Amino acid sequence: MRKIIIDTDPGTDDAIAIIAASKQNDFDILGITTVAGNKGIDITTSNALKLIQLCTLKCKVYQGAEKSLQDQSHLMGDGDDSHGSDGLGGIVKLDYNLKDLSDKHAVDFILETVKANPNEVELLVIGPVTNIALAIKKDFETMKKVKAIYTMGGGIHSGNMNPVCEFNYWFDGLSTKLMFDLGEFVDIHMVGLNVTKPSYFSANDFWFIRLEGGKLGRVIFDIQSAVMNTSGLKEEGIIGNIIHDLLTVMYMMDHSILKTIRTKVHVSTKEYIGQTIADISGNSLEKENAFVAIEVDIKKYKDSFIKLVFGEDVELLYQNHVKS
Amino acid sequence: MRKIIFDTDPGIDDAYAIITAMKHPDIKVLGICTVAGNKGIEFTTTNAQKLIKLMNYDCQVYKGAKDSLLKVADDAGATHGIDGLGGVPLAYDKSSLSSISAVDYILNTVKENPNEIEIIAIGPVTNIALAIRKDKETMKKIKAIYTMGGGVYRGNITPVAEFNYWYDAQATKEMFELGVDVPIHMIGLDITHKSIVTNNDLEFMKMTGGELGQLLYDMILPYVEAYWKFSKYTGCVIHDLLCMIYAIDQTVCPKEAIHHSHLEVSTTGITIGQTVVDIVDSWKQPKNVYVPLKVDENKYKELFFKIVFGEEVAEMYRKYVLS
Repeated sequence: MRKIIIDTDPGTDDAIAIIAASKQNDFDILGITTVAGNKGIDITTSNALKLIQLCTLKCKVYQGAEKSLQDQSHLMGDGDDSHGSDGLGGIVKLDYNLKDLSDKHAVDFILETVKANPNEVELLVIGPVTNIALAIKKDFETMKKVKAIYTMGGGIHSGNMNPVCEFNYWFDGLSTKLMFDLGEFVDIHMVGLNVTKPSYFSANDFWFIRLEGGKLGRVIFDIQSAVMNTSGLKEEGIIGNIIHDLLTVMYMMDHSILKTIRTKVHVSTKEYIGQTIADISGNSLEKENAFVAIEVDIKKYKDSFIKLVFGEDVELLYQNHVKS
Repeated sequence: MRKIIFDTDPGIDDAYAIITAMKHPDIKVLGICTVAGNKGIEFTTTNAQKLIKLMNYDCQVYKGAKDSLLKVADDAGATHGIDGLGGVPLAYDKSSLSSISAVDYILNTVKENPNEIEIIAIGPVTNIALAIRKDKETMKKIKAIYTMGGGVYRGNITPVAEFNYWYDAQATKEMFELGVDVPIHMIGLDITHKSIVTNNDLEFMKMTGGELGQLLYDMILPYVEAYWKFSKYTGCVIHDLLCMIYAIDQTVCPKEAIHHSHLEVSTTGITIGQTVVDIVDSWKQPKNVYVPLKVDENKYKELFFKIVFGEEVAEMYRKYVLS
């Protein structure tokens, strides 16, 4: 079993990623740590609690950073509702149980878990990376013993906050830089907008999930349909939605979904904060610190998600009948 | 202004067609005649009244045939939802129902407007046949009939028959006998099934179409479920809408693929309701139908968005959905 901690700010795409992770047989999810990002820390934490119940996960939620190390959240528009009023699209009503919330801080949980399982723990980081940076600041030596980090963020010549910056990294540029500094010691896999944007799920895909996916399919449809207008059509000009974090977790399960290149990722902390700058030509002479995703097998990605969550029969229907 | 009369059994796809006509600036819907088909006559009549109120349109409903000439079924089951309009709550005014029967209304109107009236027949054609039986000479003065039904190379309710024509095969046969005098355009399953309105299209409509877009979206959900269940389409076929759009702009079907042919209708046995069309003219019989067999599905859908929701939405549709 792979030992995994999910560091997240749910978030409509985080939610789908966590649902997928919960279905993967060889994933032992040790805990979910939360961070402010898509929504404030109270909302992301209660959403994580809701997902624990929905996915019947056995682990606990550990609340983390309330504020980023390089806060520019005041620049976010008031009308930023790309995750709906409650961060999960605002349509689905999910219950949560406070007993699933630990009183331990996210940073301490990460450090203790890595210490207890050196070179075994993989971090799935699908929100701003503030908790990771705080853990590095607190105990760099322990963080060197993380087995791997899969991080959704950044992009190669691609942005969503502006033409060159992605939200998670933009939200905390300094933390992002600190995390990539760890890349000399720990394998960091960066899944950026250059691969998430082309691999969006269309309305046809979501309708298929609704029609064939039973109760869970309906939940996924409702979470996503709520933001198809705001973050799909208005921001990206697509009929559907990009589930950034899902691509990250599906790649974590099967590396053949993304083609990566090992290179050096620089993170801007002055202008265009959070922009990732990387030479992907393959000719970089710098010391590498990350595997950067540069190509995506969209069909394989979506097929394997459908198969993982809804089973082989449903996947077959999807392959035979759905034109995205 | 083109003067049209609807002969219809609303029906979700009928509703789409009627709303589109009501939105078109060059079309005057003079009246809506109802017939039993997708649902019984009381339902289809009330539904027509609901559409008039929804669109705040100035015309009346004329109740028509309760039973087909050759009865084979009551209605189309649950395909159109319990009430025939997908269960969306709509009000209607009693005053929108005329006391004149559908058949008399058609005959009177054609008499008053010889060679000017176009009939959009998107249900079983029982009323048309009854009007022909009553006064064929007047019916010859119809300008054109656009009818949704039949098919050359496929069926739906049986392998060779389409629902509307199957529901009243005798009436269908009698209508096409008029086709030597009046141009009859048959929009059959061959092209309606080539113009699937996808769930991408419907979500786009919901996002950009305001209140009416949301209503049309809500209305069509039983269709989406049925087309997935029975045909494995990620979307649905809005048969009657294609008929209406074709009536508005025939160029949605390439001219060379519109066949002027001889058509016969089977009225008995396992072929009941089948339209047999002599596309290659081997029988050398009088031509009584125009059948388009190809369609530009993108143009069709774009026209729908343009007519119902305006040029701005149509442009977005081109930009975000078609490209």
